[in-house]
Amino acid sequence: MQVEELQIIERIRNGEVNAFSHLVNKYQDVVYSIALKVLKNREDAEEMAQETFIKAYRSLSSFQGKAKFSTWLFSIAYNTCITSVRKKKFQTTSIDQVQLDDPDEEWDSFGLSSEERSRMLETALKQLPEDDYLLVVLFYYEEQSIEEICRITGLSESNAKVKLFRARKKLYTIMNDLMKKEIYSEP
Amino acid sequence: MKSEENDIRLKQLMKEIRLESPGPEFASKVMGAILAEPEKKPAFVTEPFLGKKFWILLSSFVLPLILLLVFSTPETGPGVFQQFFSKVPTPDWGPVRELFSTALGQQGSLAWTVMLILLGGSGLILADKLFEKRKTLSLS
Repeated sequence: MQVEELQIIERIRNGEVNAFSHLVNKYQDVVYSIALKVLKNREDAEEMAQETFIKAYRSLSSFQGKAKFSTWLFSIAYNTCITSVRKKKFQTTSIDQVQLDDPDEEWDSFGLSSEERSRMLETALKQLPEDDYLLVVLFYYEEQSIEEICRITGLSESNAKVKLFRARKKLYTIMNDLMKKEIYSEP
Repeated sequence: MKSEENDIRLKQLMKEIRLESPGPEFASKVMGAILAEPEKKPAFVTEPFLGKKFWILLSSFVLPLILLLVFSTPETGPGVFQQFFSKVPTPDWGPVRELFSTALGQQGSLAWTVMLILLGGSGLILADKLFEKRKTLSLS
């Protein structure tokens, strides 16, 4: 996968600009969903995602291939988000807004169909604060390592681990709440 | 252990979900913006083929060699170089030469060994650069 991306980058560097669309298609959802989570507005999020890809293209010369392209791209997206938030003096959601009442770290999805599980997880992700959403998506969806997440966010390794642990716990808490609501709402 | 199991489980669950997508025209908008930038292809920094490291290493070999050739005597040149030095007329720089000869006499073959190591190091950097260049070319 990494080699394939390096080949695409090399093609772009050799003037085949259209090859960049492969990278856009591959990562647009992750970049856009992070932007949407932070900006909470589809138009702004799309604009920011677009800006991220254009910035990435312009600074492709500084990409040395030492890190994964996705790690490098997400760090651009993250910094663009931060800049955008600072410019708009955006009110970020407090990390501790979701109460961690349930000490259980498990999520019992027993009895749920695959579609129901996905739907519930998607709903739970939407309810996560942006910091936690970013960590969960990067680690569990994009399978970035802790080290790579540290590069993207600038967090220390221990901090990233703690935040990720708490984010996962919050996610399970939200999912368990959703499960309970679903059970009690059933006729 | 439990945490690792949870990680694996959540990663599997995450594969089943779909993230929010931008509009269907998103990719073409991005590409349009990129292509609309005339002559704004990414400015690739042309790195010199042989970097600073190579030249430092090489000069740390070449400079002492020049000094040795200028100031050494047949007595101070070790092994195979001794005969060569005996045929090459060396300038008589008096005290400088004497000082250098004394220093070399005390060092024995150490100076030559160090220089050979540095030369070897330079050679390795050069080989590394050549392989890297070949790899990049084969990728493109």
